[in-house]
Amino acid sequence: MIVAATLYQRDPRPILHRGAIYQYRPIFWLEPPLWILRNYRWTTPRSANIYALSELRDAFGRGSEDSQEDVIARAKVRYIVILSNDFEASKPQFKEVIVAPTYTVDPQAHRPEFLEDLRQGKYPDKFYLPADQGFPQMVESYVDFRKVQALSKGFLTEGKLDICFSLQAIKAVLYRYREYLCRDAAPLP
Amino acid sequence: MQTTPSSTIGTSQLHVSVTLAKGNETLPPSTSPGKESFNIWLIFLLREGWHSTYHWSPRLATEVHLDLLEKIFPSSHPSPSFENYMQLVNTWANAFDEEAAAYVTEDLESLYDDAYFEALELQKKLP
Repeated sequence: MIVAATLYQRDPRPILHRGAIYQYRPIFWLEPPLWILRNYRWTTPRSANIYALSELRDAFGRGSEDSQEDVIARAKVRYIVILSNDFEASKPQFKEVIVAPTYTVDPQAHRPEFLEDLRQGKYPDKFYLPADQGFPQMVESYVDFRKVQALSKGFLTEGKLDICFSLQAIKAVLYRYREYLCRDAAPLP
Repeated sequence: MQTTPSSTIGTSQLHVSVTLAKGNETLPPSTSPGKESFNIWLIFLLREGWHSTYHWSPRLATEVHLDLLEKIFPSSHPSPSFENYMQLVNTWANAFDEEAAAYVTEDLESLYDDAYFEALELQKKLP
């Protein structure tokens, strides 16, 4: 039996690794309609023209470069934890890592019933992160497995905390994430 | 009567100091609450615990939550629910270890060789 005292531990490693925690990193998502930027250049972004996907007949085709388009996404900065293994995290050829965003518990916004079940680890798609008195920076929050996504390492050059998940914690997160993905899976043909 | 130093709650810029009073002790006058700071006066029936009853200046429209109190007066010991949850986390971590033999532990360095990364680059160009 392995006994864990906390979810967190001090992290002297400055490198990107599984279980590392970053603060205020952008988490992106797309919602319809899809807005496409044309004539967009990094050096002169304000010169871009914005079109709805429905306005363009050549989107993602001959009107684009290499079948790619620049689009407008929505984002919010959040604390994130790295789920990718250390090899992928360290290998420069891998441009992205898998990250799980965290959401702060708000007793005024969340219903008490939700909080009670969350705090007992009852939701399969969420991993509860209680506040830890040893790490006051880590407030009561939770990982939402439904929002796990790939994030460019370019966004992880700063914001790393000197706190990371403990080994027990990352094992528990991965175990629960796998449970979440496999939950109620229909028998495969 | 006990007054705490000003505390910042969460990530907000709300600064709160709290005065605790037993029973019928007289509360001090308000110290000119401003937009960014104010005093909350709380009366606790200490014999029933810290969180039993409280009230505050009527100018405050929002309820003071127990979590806020916890941040101002952190308890010296983990709560039972925290310990119960950490037991659960241990259970999950142990389950991870018990199933570790089934996990694939390949030599990723040799698996992801140059040919792999060339294919990865080519993949970006495919329709």
